[in-house]
Amino acid sequence: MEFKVRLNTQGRPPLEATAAFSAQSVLLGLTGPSGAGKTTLLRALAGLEKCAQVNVSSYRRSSPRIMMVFSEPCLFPHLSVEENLILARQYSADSGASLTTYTALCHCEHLLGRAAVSLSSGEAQRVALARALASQPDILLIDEGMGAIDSATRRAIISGLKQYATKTQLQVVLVSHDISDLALYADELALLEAGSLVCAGQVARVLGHYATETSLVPCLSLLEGKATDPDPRYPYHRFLCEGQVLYAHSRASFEEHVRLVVDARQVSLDKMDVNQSTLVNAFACQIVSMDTLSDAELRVTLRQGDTTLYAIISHLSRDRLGLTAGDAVTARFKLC
Amino acid sequence: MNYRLCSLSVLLSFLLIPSAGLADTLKVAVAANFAKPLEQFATAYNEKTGNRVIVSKASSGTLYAQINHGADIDVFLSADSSRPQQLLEDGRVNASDVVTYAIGRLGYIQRSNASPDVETLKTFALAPTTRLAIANPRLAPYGEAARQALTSLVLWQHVSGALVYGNNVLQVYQFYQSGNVDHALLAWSLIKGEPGAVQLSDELHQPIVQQLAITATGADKAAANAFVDYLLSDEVQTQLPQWGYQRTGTRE
Amino acid sequence: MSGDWTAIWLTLKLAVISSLILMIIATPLAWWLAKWQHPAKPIVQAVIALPLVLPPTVLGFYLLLAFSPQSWLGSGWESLTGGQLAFSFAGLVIGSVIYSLPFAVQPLYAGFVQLDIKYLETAGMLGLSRTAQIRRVILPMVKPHIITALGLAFAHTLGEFGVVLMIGGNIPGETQVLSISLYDHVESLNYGQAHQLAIGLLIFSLILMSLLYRLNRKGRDAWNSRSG
Repeated sequence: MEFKVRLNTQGRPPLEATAAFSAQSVLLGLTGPSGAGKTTLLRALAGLEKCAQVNVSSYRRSSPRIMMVFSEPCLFPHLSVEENLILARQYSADSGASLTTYTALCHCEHLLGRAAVSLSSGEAQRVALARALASQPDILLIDEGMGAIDSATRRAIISGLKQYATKTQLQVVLVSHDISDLALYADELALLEAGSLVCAGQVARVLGHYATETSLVPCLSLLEGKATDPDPRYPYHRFLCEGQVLYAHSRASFEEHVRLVVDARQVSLDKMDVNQSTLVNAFACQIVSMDTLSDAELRVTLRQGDTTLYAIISHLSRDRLGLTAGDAVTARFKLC
Repeated sequence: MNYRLCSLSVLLSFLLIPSAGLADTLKVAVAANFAKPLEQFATAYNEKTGNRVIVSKASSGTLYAQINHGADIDVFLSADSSRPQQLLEDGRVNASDVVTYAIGRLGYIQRSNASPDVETLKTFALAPTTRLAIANPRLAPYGEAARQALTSLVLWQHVSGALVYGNNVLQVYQFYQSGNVDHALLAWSLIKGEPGAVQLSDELHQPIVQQLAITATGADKAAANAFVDYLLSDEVQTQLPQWGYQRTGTRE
Repeated sequence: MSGDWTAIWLTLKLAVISSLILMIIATPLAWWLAKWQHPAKPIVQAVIALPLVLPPTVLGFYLLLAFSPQSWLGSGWESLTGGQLAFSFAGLVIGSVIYSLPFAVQPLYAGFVQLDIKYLETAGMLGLSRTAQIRRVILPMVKPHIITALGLAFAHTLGEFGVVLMIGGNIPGETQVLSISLYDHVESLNYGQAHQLAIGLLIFSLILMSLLYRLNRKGRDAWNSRSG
């Protein structure tokens, strides 16, 4: 998907965003601080901002059909859930799948007979998503429209959505404040600050930018690799990252690929090889650089192969261990 | 606390001032068509005797209903005789309180002819191309007189379909003035002296006897009687023709 | 008494026709007003609300002048239809529409103002054309307001007196509506018949308004549970 958006409104900073994402990217994450313009960008893409100059094309077609799910579900109150979905399908391009496909995906099959006004906000958001899917768009924009759904269900829906999108060549743009959620699932990320896209592309790269160029929190690293056979004794997933075995709680993946997103504050550095602690994961890597963040702490950038890992440690620890750039250390962090 | 008590007693004392203290103010209600002349007579009376007369106008039927339900009116000048007679039957007034004060005359006004006569009316009414406005015969004596006149002239069956009814002669006049009708039958007093108007013969209808009833009681009665005597005096009665009315005989 | 039945029939006819015309005029007007942002907006709103505060006789008086063949409206009507606006049923309809205008516009305005634009944006993205949006989203969502507007306009026209008194001319079968008939009976001391008409009108209005509130209660409650 490619887009170019330009919008100048009075009283707001100008919005200018140009990006091109690979055709294989099914889920694009859009994040940034409050007021950066994420909602405005999505609205412009959806064609709802009359004053914006917008060019959007997807690899499926040059004039893609775009559907946006707002943070408020906006279900038609005079209709039932089922009627809302039927209305969406009625005006969609072709008759598509049966409604249960969409409701199963969004975990709301049991709500079909209910009146739209009787739903809780979490339920309504799921139905709104199902309705958006039922209209069979080429591009689906979700503006924080999953905030009221509990995280376990949310992750399940997102994985399901990715599978569905791959199958139907749908591209999804998901806006969230929670960058760790996005980092786990998105194929590519985009960071919007004060109306401009400061960084867009591979998740690891954007996370790196996020960590080093911005003052945003949290500081995250992405570790990913191919899944290996799990240990039958434990319910954890095992995967190989740069040839090293790592463990993850939830399988943030489908097919063979597993991802792990770890907060830099959860990472400890060890000069010793042998693990005598409860920190499950060990990742051997090299210190590339160290940047002071404040009086109390500094950020260590570590690398092994193509993978970059960040750790935030205290000055005291650095002095105690005598850490310098070039040192080989083992990064340790808990299961997550 | 003291202040509140003070202002409260001032207020109360205002309410307690007897209305007699307001030097003989008479409340007179008059049917719409006689309102203008009556106001003039009231002013003259005030200059002559220093007594104030407050004039309110409405339709005879409304005034009758109000008086029947206790409205505080001292003298009621009706446009007809039936309302005062009805008050007499109801026992609200005595026979001596009901008296004729004027005789009304019917007039015809229209736009096309500068000096019309009854033939103009006949020509129009035999084949009416537009509407003729009269007062509602059920409600207004001038309306009933108009109906009688049209019947005597053998015009009623030709023109009744083209009629439009005003609640009173003033509304009939309003219809004419606003241009919505070009022909109207109404009180001569309203159209006397206007272009295109003519007084119709009083042989065409029953006399439009306008009677008043003195409805005042107690202390106000004397003042009411005095005013009515003034209205029946030669001074006033000789002025009636210039207002478009006919004078009446003396009081019984 | 047959005259009274004619008056009743005429009154119902007037109320039905006026209300329908009024809904056709008031709906787009209220919509436009709800969307319009302009410093002059309060003035326009005040003009629409005038019939609420003006004595009906004032309105009737101005209508009488406006209907006269000497005015552009009166002469225009005459050249168009060959007939007169004053003392005609058509004249009464025009008077009723103006007189009951705020009763139709204000509930509709309230409904449209409350309607979040996001519903329409969603409908548009789902592929609904403008007409489909009106038919399937806007109108159903403001249904309680439509019912209120229609009901109030109807009830208000039923009881119209002052305006009709000024421009009607009291012609049986044409402009002698119920309220005028009632007035006639009172004026000519026919209190018995006046009572009959008055009680009938009172009961009918009571039933109508109760129905209205009942119909609306359902709509309002269903929607309130969402925000609750």
